[in-house]
Amino acid sequence: MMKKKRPYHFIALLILGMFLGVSCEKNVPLSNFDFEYAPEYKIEGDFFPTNLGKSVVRVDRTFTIEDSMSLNNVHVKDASVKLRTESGDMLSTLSWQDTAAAYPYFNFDEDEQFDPTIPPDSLATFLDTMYYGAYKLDDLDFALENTQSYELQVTIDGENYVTSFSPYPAVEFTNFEPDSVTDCPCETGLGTHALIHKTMASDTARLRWPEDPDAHLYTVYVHEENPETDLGPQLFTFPGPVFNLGMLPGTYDIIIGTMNETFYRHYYLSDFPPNHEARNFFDGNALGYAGTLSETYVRIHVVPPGEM
Amino acid sequence: MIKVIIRILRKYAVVLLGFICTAQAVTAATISGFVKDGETTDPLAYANVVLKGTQQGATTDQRGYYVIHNVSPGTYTVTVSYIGYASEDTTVQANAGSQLRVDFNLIPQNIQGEEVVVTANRLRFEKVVETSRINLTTRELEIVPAFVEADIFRSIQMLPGVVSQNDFSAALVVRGGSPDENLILLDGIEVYNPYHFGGIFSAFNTDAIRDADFQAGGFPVRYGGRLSSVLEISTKEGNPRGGMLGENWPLKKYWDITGMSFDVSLLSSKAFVEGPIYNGSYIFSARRTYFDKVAEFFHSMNDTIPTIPYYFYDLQWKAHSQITQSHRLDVQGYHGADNLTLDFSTPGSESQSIDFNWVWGNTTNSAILKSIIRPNLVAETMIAQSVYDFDVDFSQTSRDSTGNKVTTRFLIRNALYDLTFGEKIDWKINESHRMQLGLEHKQFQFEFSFNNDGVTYLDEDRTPQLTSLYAQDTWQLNVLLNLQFGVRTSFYSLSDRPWFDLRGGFKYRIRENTALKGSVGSYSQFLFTSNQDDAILRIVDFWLPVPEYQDPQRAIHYVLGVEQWIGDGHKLSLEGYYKPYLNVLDTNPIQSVYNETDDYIAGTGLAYGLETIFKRSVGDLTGWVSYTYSHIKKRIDLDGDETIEKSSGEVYSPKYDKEHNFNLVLNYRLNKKNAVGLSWNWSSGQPYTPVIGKMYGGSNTNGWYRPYLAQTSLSGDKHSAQYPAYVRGDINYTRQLDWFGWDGQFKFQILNFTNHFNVLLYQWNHAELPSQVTATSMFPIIPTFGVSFNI
Repeated sequence: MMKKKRPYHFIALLILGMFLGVSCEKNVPLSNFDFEYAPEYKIEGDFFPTNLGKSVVRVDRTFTIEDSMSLNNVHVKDASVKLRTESGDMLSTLSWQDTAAAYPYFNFDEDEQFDPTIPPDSLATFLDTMYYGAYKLDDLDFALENTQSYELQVTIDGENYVTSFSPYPAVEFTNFEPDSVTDCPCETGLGTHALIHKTMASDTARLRWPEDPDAHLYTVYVHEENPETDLGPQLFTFPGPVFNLGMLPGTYDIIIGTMNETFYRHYYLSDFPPNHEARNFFDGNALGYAGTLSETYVRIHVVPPGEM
Repeated sequence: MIKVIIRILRKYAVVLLGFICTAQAVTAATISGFVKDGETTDPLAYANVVLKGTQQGATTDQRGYYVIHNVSPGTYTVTVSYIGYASEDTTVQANAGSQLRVDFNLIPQNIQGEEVVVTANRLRFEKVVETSRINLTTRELEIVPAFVEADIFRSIQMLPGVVSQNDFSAALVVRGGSPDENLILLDGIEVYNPYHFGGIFSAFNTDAIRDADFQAGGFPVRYGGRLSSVLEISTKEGNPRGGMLGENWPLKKYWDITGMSFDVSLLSSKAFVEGPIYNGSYIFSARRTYFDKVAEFFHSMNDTIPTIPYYFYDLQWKAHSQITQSHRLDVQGYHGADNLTLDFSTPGSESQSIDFNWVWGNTTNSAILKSIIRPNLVAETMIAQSVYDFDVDFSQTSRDSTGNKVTTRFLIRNALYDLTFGEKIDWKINESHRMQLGLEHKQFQFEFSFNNDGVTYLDEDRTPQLTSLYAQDTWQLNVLLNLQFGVRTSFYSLSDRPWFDLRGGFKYRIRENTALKGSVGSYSQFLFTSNQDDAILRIVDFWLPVPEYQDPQRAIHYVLGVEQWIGDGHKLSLEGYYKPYLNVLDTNPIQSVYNETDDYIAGTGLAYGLETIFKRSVGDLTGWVSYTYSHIKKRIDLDGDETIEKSSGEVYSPKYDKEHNFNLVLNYRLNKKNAVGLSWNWSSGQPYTPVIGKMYGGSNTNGWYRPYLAQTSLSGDKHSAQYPAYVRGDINYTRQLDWFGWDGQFKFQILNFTNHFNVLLYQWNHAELPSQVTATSMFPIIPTFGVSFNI
């Protein structure tokens, strides 16, 4: 059974917002604070065992409060990045690519405010794509096994930063007869993954997988394949093991991602700051992690009730 | 467990029988009775009752009840005196073995100094073993300015040993304990979420309150289930004089009205009614805020003014009836609820709407039968119900291009039901010993469910039980030394063994007007809240039973103090406390999603401090001044690595830690009609976790997917920095009114009249270069006014 996740927190934020509305605010000079911080490296190794080509390692700088910070000076592009087995066997080096990955976002102008009364369709006009550089695997001819431990080593200016991780299995749907399965050659550089096709009626559309007491959170990515009503992909986390689609008729790409422990801890242990050892798996002058998100790719054709 | 209880009951029964037989053998007379306020019928505690011309006498207890033992046959004049009331006496004839009942109804009047030979407060100073206790009357509760209206919790927050988390929270932090460690009792009934509006207001209407007894630590065994403090709120008895409904009122024997009062302020209204009921009296009070209506009115004139879709209300009633001379029945009820409704639908459009409805509140009901079995043996049988619940209903509706309506809905429900049966025996064995015995059984039911679009993801229903037995003896060893010791045993159904709490205390007069006092004891708590200490707002208390895999929360109190008698209506006290927490529970931040046995982790803590107060309750100038030095540290293995390290934020001062806290509360009566008041609080700034650097990403919401969407902060050690000191001064002016024969009161107050900027939080904006910090304040300067009338 899923556990509670403090559902009243958002209500508290709502009321807090009302109070803050009547409170006063003022700027405080930085000279009122003491800062003793030396910049570090932030290393995040996101590996996708079921779609290795999508894996990226980001090597960035952190900044002092007084530093100028922008996307132009955040990346460390000359690091040496290696992925090895626990016993030290090299699996692949990783090389810098300027457009290694991308994500959509709402690109508001400074004077634009989100207006909830705007018809949903028009939100698509705000969508933009953010490309960013990262390190990508040079060799995809290997598999990340669930039972094995792996090591990510990043060398910057002769200093080695090492961390290890073990993948966690992707979900397998139960009582689920796929219409078909195809290998999907995805966008350039994202590798190939197995895509499951399935048709469901909108009133019963539901994905279910076996409950796993050792599992962490799951991610759910939903993207409707309809350019006219495209709001961009929706991504959220989910405790599983049932995902109730609740969708209008249409075709949807859905990705269920299973986090391994380090992925879960680094990104989702929100009670700790990102530089806390519960979320930071590096020693020395670096913070970050390496971990896996094992994805299962499903394309669902949702049809109106009674058309199955 | 039941066998163990039966064994203990048998043992008690044998002891009890022995004592009763001994008592029956005494052939001297006994004089007992009640002392009450002649106008309101409120019991007068610590009134002095003496047999004139003898050394014999007694003091009334909290119920106004007294017993004078071993009275030799003869004729006596029984005299009762109480500060602020005219003394009364009556002559009685005591025969051998007789049990005389003599009740007094004292008439309030100005003090005639010399008549009060030994006052109630003096008796209390000399004889009562108590540490860390302060009593506040209705008048004292009302002199502390509060947002919108007088608030009992805001007054308690001005006492030594107590701090508030911020201006927006009425929650009590007592001697380093989190708010769930306080036992809040309304006429003996436990109230679980005593706040309205996210903690801005307490749930209790001061109009219906007679007084509040607050014990910041070292409380005796008759109170259980909490680690830090007890706040015992007593509601008024109701004035039984009647008369408003006229002599021809056909039900006059059963029901009448003595008086009504109404209180109207900018944002709320209150009503209070009292009167006689069959052989007793009743009160009824009601209160409702109308933030929603006022905001709606202004919004209708100017749509840029936002609406406030929130209100709360509460109803409180109490009645008692003297069924026979020896039996009295009290019934009591309270119901309070908050309602927050949000509607984001677009007028004229059905394409999309969001409805959010949240209702939460408390309900209590109780019946208490008080029986005088023998003059020196009083029993109290109680059955009570306390319910706290909240329900959230959220739905989002949209229509697609073909007109199909699609609704997503989630429902959250959390409820706590507490059904309590209690039996108390108060047995005044002789002049030196007073034994209090009690049995309390609580049947809990905790519900928590979450449903999304018809799919139930969580449906928990737990029904633990808690049975407690206690025995306490108060022993007056001699005129200088009084002792008190007791034991409380608790059987908790989710624990496999009984839990024993031993507590003791003393008061020793080292000089005529100076007394040493102290207490030591262990305390256990079987319920707790999963609220985060760091939360700025405490919207609701989310109560849970201590799970099977954890021991109950435990603490030990060591309290030592000195009290100086200055005069009646004055209190001067200095106390130190040392409170180790042996076991405290916190939410496990690394709990797994499916593992049911890792939700909460245990840690330890240590609180210690020094408090002093000077309080004046008589004369034109009343109020108090107090200072507290306190320290609290918690030690919890938050990251689960089986070590506790300060660098990992596992040894820290909680958010509510304030090292120094100074309070001044003054009220000066200028003349019969006008009074002014001032309250001032200065305290050390609260700890917070500082920002030391910045980076891209790190946001917990899909930070891996959109790693460069946000510029986020890097934090230093947990709670290693301090906000600037907190300073707040409030002033008020009160004028008594007489309009068209109605007594009334006009009150004007200014909160934070110096407009001091008290920092609530810092917000960082790293998008600017260099980074910018914005401080958000607590209450700015806020003037308010209100009018009340008594009919």
